[in-house]
Amino acid sequence: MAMQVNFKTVSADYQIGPIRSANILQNVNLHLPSQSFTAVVGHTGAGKSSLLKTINGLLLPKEGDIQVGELEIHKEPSKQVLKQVRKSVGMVFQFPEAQLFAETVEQDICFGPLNFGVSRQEAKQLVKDVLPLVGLTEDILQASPFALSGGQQRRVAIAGVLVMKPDVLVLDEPGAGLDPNGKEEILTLLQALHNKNGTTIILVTHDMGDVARFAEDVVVMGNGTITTHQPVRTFFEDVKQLQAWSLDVPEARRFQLRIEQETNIQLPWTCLTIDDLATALIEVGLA
Amino acid sequence: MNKLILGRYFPGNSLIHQLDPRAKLLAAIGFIALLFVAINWQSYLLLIVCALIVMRMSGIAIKMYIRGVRPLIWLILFTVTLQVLFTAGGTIYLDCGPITISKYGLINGVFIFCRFVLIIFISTVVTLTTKPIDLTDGINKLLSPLRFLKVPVDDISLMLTIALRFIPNLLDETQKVMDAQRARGTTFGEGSLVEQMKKLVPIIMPLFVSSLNRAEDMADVMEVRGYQSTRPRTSFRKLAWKKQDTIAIVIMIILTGIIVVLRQLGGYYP
Repeated sequence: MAMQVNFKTVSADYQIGPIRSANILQNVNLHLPSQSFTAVVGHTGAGKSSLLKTINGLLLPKEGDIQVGELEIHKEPSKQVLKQVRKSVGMVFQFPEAQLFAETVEQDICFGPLNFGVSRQEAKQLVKDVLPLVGLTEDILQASPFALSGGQQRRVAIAGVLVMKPDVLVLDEPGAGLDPNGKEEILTLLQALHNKNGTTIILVTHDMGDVARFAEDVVVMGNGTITTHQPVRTFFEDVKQLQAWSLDVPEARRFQLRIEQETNIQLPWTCLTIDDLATALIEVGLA
Repeated sequence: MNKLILGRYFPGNSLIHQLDPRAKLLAAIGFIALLFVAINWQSYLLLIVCALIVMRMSGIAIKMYIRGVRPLIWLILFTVTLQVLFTAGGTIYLDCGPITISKYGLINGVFIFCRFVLIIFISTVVTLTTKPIDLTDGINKLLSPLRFLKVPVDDISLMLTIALRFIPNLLDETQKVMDAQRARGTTFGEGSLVEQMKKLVPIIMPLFVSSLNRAEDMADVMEVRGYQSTRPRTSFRKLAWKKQDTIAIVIMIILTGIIVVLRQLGGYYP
């Protein structure tokens, strides 16, 4: 079962001691349909991470409410609701390997399911199910998470979230600090999960190339508000607007514009990936 | 996490902020010593008034200081209760075997309460108004005579600097790890004491790991940049002792004089 996420006039801020930060989120209205793959982009401090945290009830709205499927998070949600929300919304933080703590990989991945009241036996089975998803094998289970390489730690940490089979998956720069291959694999994994299980995915990233290749919709944030929410193809069409938001133009799209400029031939659609571009070029007879 | 006030710096431009860290440290140590010299209500009253004036002068809301006391309130009340119950002398109000509530006990309890709270207040004034780096510079300078006794003063102050420097990082990291584990279904502040302690493991372990990693990186970086603990170091920031610092110390000496006189005059109990 997949879930939609709905923000209704959400405002939120952090209270740190006496210092109340200005509204981190201001009057956010956002509808993320069930089974969508949305990329959230924007500059540092635009409120992207805070937006993610509100979906999981880690940051509670000061005003407004957030609907996750049937559940509703408002100013003071009950503990049951929070627990339900956290069970159905998986959250992968930036550098998630920082959350590893257990003696063995198996114990660490089991942590979530056990917290949500799954029996030890079942949890172990869930762990075995989740490993292939993140490209790990069972022989790693008894190893200490701290003895693994950075990339493997990342996978274990992500497995620790995926193991609960969340309907909504929220990720904050899951590829940050990984080599290009590792990053690629993690994003492909997300896409597979999205296609196979229909998991609603919300991904914060800085890489417009990734946005173009993996996301279906794009949300741009600035100063705690939603600047725009568009399907990815429409979004990358208007290059001037992208530059105004000082966002990068993906490589394939840039290449397309160059070709159009040089040949004076308009390609039939906005190309997001290299393959996309190749097909378009064949279509108009340039390749 | 955010309730921790002690050990935080609040930028400001008050007279207290401008004092030399050495003056502040000396005055604070002197004040705390005076709290143990004071034995009657007149001197406590005087010390409370002085503390309030200093807190006022720091330009930081009194509420903040009270918040600094809050985490320790149970420890304070526990100690005070012990004092009240187990001090004998004076008029006895209640007598149940070894437990008596006596006049002396009550007075002692009140004094100890004041002592605790004032110690926290005054040390909070110092930490809230002094940049951590100034504080360690000050400690370094104050301890420097110990160098002749082969105490590694520079190493100690460097360790202090590093420790203080990383408190905010550690707090941020704690928050992050807590969020991550909460997202995985842990609920803090629930269940029996043992259960709650078990729930701390998933927070403390990652913090240990990252702290150790960071310490190692930091040691490498320091070595690469030529740090050697055996060599004397010069300092980039020089502390300057000004007139106001001398005045602060003079006020402290006068206060000490008054408290000592009050002790002679007032006798032990009112």
